[in-house]
Amino acid sequence: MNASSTPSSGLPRIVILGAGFAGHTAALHLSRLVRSQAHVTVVAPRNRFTWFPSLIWVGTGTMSPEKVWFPLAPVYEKLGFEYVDGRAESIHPDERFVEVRRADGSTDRLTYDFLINATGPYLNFEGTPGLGPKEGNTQSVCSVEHALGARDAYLENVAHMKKGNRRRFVVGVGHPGATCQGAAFEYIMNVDADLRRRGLRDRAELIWLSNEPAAGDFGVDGIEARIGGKIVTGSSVIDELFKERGITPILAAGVTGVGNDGIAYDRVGYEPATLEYDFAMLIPQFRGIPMKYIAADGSEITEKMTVPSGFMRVDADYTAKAYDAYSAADWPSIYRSPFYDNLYAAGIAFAPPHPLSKTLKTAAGTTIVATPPRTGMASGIMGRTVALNIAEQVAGHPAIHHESMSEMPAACIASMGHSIWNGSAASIVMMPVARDYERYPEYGRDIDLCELDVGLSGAWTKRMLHEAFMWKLQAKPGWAMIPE
Amino acid sequence: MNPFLRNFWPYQIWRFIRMNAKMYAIAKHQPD
Repeated sequence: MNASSTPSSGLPRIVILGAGFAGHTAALHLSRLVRSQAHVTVVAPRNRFTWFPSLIWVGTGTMSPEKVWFPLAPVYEKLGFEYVDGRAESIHPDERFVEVRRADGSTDRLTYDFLINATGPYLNFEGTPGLGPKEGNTQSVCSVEHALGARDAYLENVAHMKKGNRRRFVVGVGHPGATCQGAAFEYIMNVDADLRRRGLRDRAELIWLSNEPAAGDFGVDGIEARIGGKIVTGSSVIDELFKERGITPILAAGVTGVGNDGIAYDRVGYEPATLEYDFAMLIPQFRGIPMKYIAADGSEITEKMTVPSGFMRVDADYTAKAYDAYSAADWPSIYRSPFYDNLYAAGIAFAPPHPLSKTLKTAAGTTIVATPPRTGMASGIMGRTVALNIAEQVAGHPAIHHESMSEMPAACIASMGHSIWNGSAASIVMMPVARDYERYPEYGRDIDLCELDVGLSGAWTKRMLHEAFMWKLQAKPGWAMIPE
Repeated sequence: MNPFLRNFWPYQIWRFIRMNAKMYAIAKHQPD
């Protein structure tokens, strides 16, 4: 083990675990809030930031992988921060240090005054037998490597179709409790658009396999918007899109296993079934990154600090309750551990108090629930909120900044075709993400701020967001003017 | 959602400006 890495400057030390949307956004904001008043260290593996929203294009071969990532080390050097290429193995909140395994295999002890756990998801392919690109039978678009694997498998099927063969593509989620349906939706829509462009669509059968209770639920209990004076639901819009494009939806279904010959799933209102496939891209369940929490006496306190799925407990109300009793106040507002006032969790790393969508049960007893997504925008907002509060604490003030998922907006541009000439996207804006029926009795959201639109302009917006955020996240001039 | 309007450039330019103005406004919004 290396010697304890404690700076001798005497400045408060802030350690950020993870450099995804939440961790990296927190780092950017800390650079403007406490640059000379704190020593900041970012610990993240592989020295790269990945712009996940564009991986669906890598997975269909319409964007090169170099366009979706950039190296982190030069950015942190520019910000005056220390960067450690490694992963946290354990957090010792009483003694205020983190055990880190560096990329070269050595371990290091990083002391901290404030810690942000922004470690993102553990992709739990093992949670579904036969799932995943490494040891299973399915593809994924959850990392650059996975997206490249999906691209190769997709193009292999395209080659078969060029020879006149028919192919069945199954896209969706691969676990009854998975999230991130939006990415899978974008993927199936881009596969559809690409096959049409190639003149091969009539040789492909596209099936949407999802745990959502209804099309367009996306783990946020759907969306409504006022269009032409009428209230339109996301469910009706997505249903219409599936019909138009000849995509067969299988909803309220939980994948229980994937063999060479078929995908086994259990569906509400039906007997368990198996679906044959030629290509499957199924998003796995997300869990917390495996990491131990150790008390001062050396005992493990992981169970106390996290929920069973491995995500870190924060200032949420985790009391088990019925769907009708869910409240906006259940959601955390400052993302801080209830046990340590210098320990935060942002982005996917924090434990949501409950789902946003309805939980269903099949006749065979499988619990089906589309768990809450923490998209790039939501994670970025959480990262900013945490940075603001740490800056307050560094200055000796209490943490006063709050933005829970029942207060924050979300904008989601779901690509349905990459081209800026004839592409398309579903543009979705909701405010807030978690419905608040006390504040907005009718829909739980501000219906005048909610938007739902389908068209070419969405493809332009999606491309513009890619360029704008790749600029912002590299801390290029004016980055702070681009909001999360 | 009118299929014709989805690819009608003048309408889509207007939707692009409107949607992005709205997204910018709500993204700038912070409760505190």
